[in-house]
Amino acid sequence: MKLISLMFESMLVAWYQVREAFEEGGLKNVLRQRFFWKRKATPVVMGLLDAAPTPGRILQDFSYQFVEIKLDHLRNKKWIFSTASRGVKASRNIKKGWRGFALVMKNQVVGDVWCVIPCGEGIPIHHSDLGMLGIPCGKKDAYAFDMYISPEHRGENLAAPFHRSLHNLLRTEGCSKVYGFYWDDNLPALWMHRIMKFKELPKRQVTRFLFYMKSEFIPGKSNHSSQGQHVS
Amino acid sequence: MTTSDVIRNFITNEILHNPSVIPLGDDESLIESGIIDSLGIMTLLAFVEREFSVEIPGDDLLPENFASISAITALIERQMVR
Repeated sequence: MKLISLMFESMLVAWYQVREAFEEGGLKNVLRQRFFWKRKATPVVMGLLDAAPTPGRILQDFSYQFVEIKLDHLRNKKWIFSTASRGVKASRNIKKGWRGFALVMKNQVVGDVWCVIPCGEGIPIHHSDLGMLGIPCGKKDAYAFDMYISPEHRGENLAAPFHRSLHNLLRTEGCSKVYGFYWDDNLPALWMHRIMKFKELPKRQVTRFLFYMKSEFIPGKSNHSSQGQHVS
Repeated sequence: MTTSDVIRNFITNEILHNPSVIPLGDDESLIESGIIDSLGIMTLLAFVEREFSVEIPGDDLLPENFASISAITALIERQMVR
């Protein structure tokens, strides 16, 4: 029953995403998200315990709240999600054991980011990105993914403070590293990760046809450390 | 008009959207001040590549290369030489 419910919610998320992608950029945008050939992805990592919190503005400067999303919040409709698919996705993700954190202004969720600690306490939690990207999550390492800020709130410099809030929380919970990734053609994401001094790991190229996905290392491709030096 | 002036004018008019702001200094921090954020870099990069007929590779999209007008000017001049 739980599996059927998850499958149904996944289909609903996919439907919302197709609709939103179409509204944003037409059929071309929908296809671009589901069909690509050797698209470059860069996994990244940041140490949490040995490094001081990255400097920069914090969410309190912006009068936004950083809160963890719980199923009760969704059932009680505590907040309104600016983008419909994110609310549906939140429900599905929580049921998968992933943790979600929201950027809330008044009663509106204007952004959210997801996190999994695959090898934390209890049963290991799976995320398909880890294998696809070759991310070596160890015990107490976290993987943060799918950060989203609603279009009407982009350009407000919220991404980095949002990430900092998540890192601070993970740090207090004893996580030693947080992994992530960005698509190389997603310039805002690339820029945010470099501003925050994430260390870049060997790049991958990813091919996708609808639900089929394959990735491989890019041979001979250098990467940058957080200090901007080339590492092999 | 020098490269630095072209960049300064663009940032002032198209990113800050405030032509009356006190002219940005060559070494004034553009990133720490939030002027070049993740959307600003897209706008600035498109302008630089179009205006100066250069291509900035991904490996050069580093904060230190866009930290100030001086840094951006130096980056453009390096690309022009290549």
